[in-house]
Amino acid sequence: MPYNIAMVSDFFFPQPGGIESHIYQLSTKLIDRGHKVIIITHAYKGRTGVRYLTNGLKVYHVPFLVIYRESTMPTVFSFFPIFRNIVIREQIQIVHGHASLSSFCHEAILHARTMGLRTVFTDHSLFGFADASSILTNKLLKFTLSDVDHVICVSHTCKENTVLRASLDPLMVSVIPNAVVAENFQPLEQGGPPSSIGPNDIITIVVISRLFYNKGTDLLIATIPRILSSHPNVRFIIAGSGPKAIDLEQMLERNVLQDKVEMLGPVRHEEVRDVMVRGHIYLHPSLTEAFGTVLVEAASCGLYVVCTRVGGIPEVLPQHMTTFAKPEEDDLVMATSKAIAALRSNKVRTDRFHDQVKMMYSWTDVAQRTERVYKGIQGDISPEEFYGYYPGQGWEASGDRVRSFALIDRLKRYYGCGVWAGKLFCLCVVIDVLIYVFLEMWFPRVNIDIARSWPKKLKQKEVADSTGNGPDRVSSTT
Amino acid sequence: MPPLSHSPQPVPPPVPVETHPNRAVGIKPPAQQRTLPDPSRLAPEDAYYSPALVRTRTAPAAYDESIRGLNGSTGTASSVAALRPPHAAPARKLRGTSRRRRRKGAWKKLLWVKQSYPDNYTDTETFLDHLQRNPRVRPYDFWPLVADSTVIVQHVCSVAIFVCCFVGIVQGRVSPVSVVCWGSVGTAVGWILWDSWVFREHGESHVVERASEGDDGSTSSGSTASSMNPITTTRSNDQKEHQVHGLGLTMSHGETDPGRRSSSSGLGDPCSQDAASFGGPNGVAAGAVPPLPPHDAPMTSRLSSRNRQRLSTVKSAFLIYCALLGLSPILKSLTKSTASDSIWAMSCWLLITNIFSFDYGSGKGAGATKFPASLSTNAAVMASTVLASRLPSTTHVFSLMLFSIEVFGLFPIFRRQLRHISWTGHAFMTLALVITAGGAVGITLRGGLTAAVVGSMLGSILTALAMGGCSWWLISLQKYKNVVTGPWDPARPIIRRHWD
Amino acid sequence: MPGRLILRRPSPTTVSFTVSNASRHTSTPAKILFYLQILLRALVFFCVVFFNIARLRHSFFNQDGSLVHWSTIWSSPLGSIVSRIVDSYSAWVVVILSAIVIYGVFRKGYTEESLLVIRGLGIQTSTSSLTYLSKASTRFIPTTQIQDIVIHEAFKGFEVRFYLAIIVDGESEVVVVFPKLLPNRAILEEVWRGSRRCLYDSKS
Repeated sequence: MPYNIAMVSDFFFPQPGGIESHIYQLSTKLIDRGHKVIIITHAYKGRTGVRYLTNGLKVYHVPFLVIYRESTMPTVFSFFPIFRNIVIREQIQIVHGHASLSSFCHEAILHARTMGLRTVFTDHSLFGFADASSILTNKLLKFTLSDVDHVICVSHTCKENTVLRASLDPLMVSVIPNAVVAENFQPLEQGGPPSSIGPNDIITIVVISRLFYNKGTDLLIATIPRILSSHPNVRFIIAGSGPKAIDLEQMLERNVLQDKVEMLGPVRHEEVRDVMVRGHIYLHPSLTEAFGTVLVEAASCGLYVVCTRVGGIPEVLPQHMTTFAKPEEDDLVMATSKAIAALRSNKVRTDRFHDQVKMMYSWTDVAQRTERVYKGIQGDISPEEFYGYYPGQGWEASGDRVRSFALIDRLKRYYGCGVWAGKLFCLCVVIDVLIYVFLEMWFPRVNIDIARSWPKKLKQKEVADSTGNGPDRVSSTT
Repeated sequence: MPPLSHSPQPVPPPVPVETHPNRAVGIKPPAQQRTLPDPSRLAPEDAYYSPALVRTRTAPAAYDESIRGLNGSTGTASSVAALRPPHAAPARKLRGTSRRRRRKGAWKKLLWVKQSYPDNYTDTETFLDHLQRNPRVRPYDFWPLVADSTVIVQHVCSVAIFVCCFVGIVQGRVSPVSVVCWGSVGTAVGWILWDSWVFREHGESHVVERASEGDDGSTSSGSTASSMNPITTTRSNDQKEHQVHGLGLTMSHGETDPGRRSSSSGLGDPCSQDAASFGGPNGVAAGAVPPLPPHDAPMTSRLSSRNRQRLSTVKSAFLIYCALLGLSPILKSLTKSTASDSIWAMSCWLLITNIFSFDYGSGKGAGATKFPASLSTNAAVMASTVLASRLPSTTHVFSLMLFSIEVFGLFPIFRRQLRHISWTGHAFMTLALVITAGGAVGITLRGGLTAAVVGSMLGSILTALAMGGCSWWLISLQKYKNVVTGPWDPARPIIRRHWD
Repeated sequence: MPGRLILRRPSPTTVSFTVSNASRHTSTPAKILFYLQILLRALVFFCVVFFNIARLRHSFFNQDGSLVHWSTIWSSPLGSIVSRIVDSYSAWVVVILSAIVIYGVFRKGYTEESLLVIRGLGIQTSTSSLTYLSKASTRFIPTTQIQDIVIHEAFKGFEVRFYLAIIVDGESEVVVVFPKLLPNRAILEEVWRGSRRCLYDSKS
């Protein structure tokens, strides 16, 4: 049965990024499966009002103050009136928030629960427990997730992290990975038998990553000269920009490696494939990664992947596509050398990677699995089936997993968040409920127009598979 | 599983009992294990004590936990987090596969495999497998903690003594000249002791000397350090056969008056010893100085070089003396126009800054202090400069400044070396300082000998209580320590900067 | 008060849509109320005029004219009370107060917005003014300049509202029809269909 779903996140097109494309792809595929999906995000520069993307995906760019890196100001309640209006006019049943750094998403989940809607949260990132900002984020996450119906994580490591951070029941957390649009990451067309690499052929190593500390740029800087000195027939292509770019360039100048290392600067997501197919090995020295979509993209382009064994990376690709290294300079050099040797001996069938990756990851699959989550929380699958039924083990689908909307139950859940935080959260929830009552009186439901749904197309499949945002059908400015 | 029937367990055990790693250790107490107390109330012992102890310790908590679990979702996470005691992974490998796993196909912690398990399936064996609690925690013991706190006590006491001296000078109870004389005598004695220690060590290795030589770049910066660094420079210059860098100033004054004021010459040398604390944070150029070529004939020139160093110390001490003498009138009128209230408040804050940012480390290996050591010294000297403007004459100002340099600049170096050399001496020094400080405070507050005695008694007792209390408090706070690490933490890259 | 749509079709090629939130005065009490309101407005207006005249009685209205005997009016009990009240305030207060009251008297209690579509000629939008005194503001857009008529949504206050907009050639911003009332979707869709049929569909 089709649902009306609202995806809420601070991060959406036109800003590029992993979360943005995740939301877009998932929404498109859910629409293909017959659901109605809208996206609620904040207004970007040059992107305001209500817009339609390809496939009838409706985007509300709510005008809100942006404070830092496209995150909106966390103003617990100010989003509520407009959110309620949107939810009512679009007849939303499920609110699906994305990204734990998005205050929009947290607020939407809180308000949605107040309005009696089912909520899902997708976590895309890993957080530690030590530093102050993490502690604050974790507390906020705990607040939101105390009352969420289900959580989706992109990897098992991410799930463990989220369960710990937000004190969740692990059965309420599903692992649904990201995916790639395999058609956009095809290796170069090669006629005839796969070409073999000779012992003296040039092997190109591609690195595409933002040059930040947590992307392991320091490791990269340390390893490049060593790899190049021990393997004369190796070239590097580095794409991406960031604060560490200067360090990288200094290293190149110091070691006079400009002829062997090509720096491309920032590349758009559409061009990533064209960069990738120029190489043989993809090197990913990241220090933390929840999923690592770029690894899948690289493997899909037929690149052998060398990456660090951190975060959720070990779960992403099978053994024959990757060489893992510890996040240490020596080990990374060794792993790269091993990968080069493996390629030179032509043991790795990189030409088959694309089809294999296509089998492993697809957005259709992701949408299907997400749909199961929706069914579970909407009660279209019985709780026993959704959460597991284990007869004879003293296990029953406990009533707590199916979260009731009664205020007293909600308050109970929030109260357990902490000594002070629990009381504060309860206060917030009570205020939220009062605001809701006030809004129901001041802007009664009957006065809100119900928006028309996008007309369903009977036959269309291939149109929606484009990665970028589709052409806007109608643009609006008021 | 009869013991679980009454409590809503968050994680279903979909695998048979025998494969559960927690149960692998012993079948009998599964309920107790799974209901470890809340992770936020975890004792540090869990991380480093033997697992058997954990089990016995947590057994009584099982009932409370099950009660907590009834209250809602809050209990669930704790039991999940507690689901796996640290380092339980090896047990799993021993067990191998089970019937059920063979039947259904084992769940793998992989994303690229299509598995027959639902997405929200939680594998009790591998879930939170790599979770580590308090991995690097080091338990504190009471007495070592008390012993370590003596360093802080020493510094606080010396600050107190300084303040009392100032009050005495202002109120006209103490003659500034006598204060500075006693201080200088003390410094001289300290220097002689220090000198002998250092050269004893020096005979053992040249490492100390080299470390001090790396320091001479630091003369370029640091307002406090600049008051003492000329000495360092002189000494280094001496050793380096008058190389160009260093202050030219010192060269011109270099040859005068070796004998006079040997007391303050004690100032000089410790500075250079304390390369780590002064040179490190200050010295922009410190790292850039190329290592010195080894002495051509270390054995033969030892004695002469030692004497030369002493000579240079004396020279630089004299230089400081002269500079201070010349600066005293300026320092006296520097903040004269500021109201007394502001002066008191400012000096209070500066002294507090001094106490809080002081480098209490041993100076060996633990170079990574959060604050630069110069901040502390700068704050103290600034405080005394500010206070100096409340004094009536130039002599007063001069005495106070000299005393403050002795107390804040040189005394810590001596204390550090003393602690390094002899623990008993350190303890006696602490005791002496506490008694002196107590007495001084007593005299300042009431006056008279009885007040001094009462003050020192009271001070000693209070200090001992505070040391014990604080140590005990810190230890008792340790049970709240709960550092959770896992694969989600950003990895720390290990890089050898060989291309530098 | 939600608007309601009045559709007029004077000729086959012309159609006029009027959205108004004025009450219709169908029932007898409503009608009585309506006339009472008019009466009250007239009364208040004359009162204000009278007060102002009283204020200016020393400079202008002190001689007995041919029509009105001012001196008798001012000496009458009502006249003297009014004069006393008026004299106790400064001229500015009287001016401002009477301006406000006059505005209230002439203020329309409703808004009326209309869209007039004439095939082959163009579209005229009009929004009624606030008072009875000023004229409605209108805008005419010739057919050649009309690119399209669309219904879209936008944020307004704490709401998302539908609006009917005309995309005009060579203008960066669209012209919103019914900008004040922003009627609901059902009305907008009817207007949209009707105006498109009238503009583009030659068979109707």
